Amino acid sequence: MDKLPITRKDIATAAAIALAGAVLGLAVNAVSPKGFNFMIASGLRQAALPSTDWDDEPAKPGVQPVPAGQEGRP
Amino acid sequence: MRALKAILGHPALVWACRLVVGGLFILSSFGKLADMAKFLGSVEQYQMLPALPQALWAASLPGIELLAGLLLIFGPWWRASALLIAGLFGVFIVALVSVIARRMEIDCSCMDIIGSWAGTFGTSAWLNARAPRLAALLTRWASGPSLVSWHTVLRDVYFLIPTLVVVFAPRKDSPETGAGR
Repeated sequence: MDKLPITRKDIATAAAIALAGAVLGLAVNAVSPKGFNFMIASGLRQAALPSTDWDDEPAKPGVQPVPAGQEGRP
Repeated sequence: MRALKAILGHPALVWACRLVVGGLFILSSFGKLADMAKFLGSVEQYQMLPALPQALWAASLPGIELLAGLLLIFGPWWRASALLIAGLFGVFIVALVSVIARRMEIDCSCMDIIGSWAGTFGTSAWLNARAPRLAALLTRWASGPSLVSWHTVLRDVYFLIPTLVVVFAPRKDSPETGAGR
């Protein structure tokens, strides 16, 4: 690299800029309302799926629970 | 050869290249920072990386582009920034060529915000009254398909040239010209 105007210092500085930029990008993504969930996108955490267990479904407001043994009666 | 070196290393040309490439990167980063979830979707289309590096790349690239663009224009480390940007162009070109090689038809989504501004400017009455040819050119460019093709690869190569002019600009202590640090 004797004849090139690029030095090892330039390469190290470029790497440092890339690192600082990456931190900046991650920070903006974390606070931005249009950012994505990094943990889910990276596969580090599973997305919370809606429960398919019917017993876990909360009672709808205004609907009285049917007492046990009286299901099907008018 | 010496004359060409003198022209390419002229401080005015180096400054112009810094402004063009730095401005391009700043504008391009704005589009990505404004909607990072959309940008993640664009990165996913390329199908080149596993989930973790893909998310890291999508989250960090807009910040890297912004910082490198700002430092290229205003910063003390403009040569290092130009080196980083040249590396990024290299990565972009490899990604685009790989898409073409895999015969995928995906949207490049490289410079959305610049395209939309060009479209707005191209359809403005002010520009149409003064420079209809330029207006038509901008409108055609903005409305054209942004599917990955050899044209998108060539566009990146065009922008890589001024970046390399900055990277290889003579140093201040060099006997040839007085351009740069």
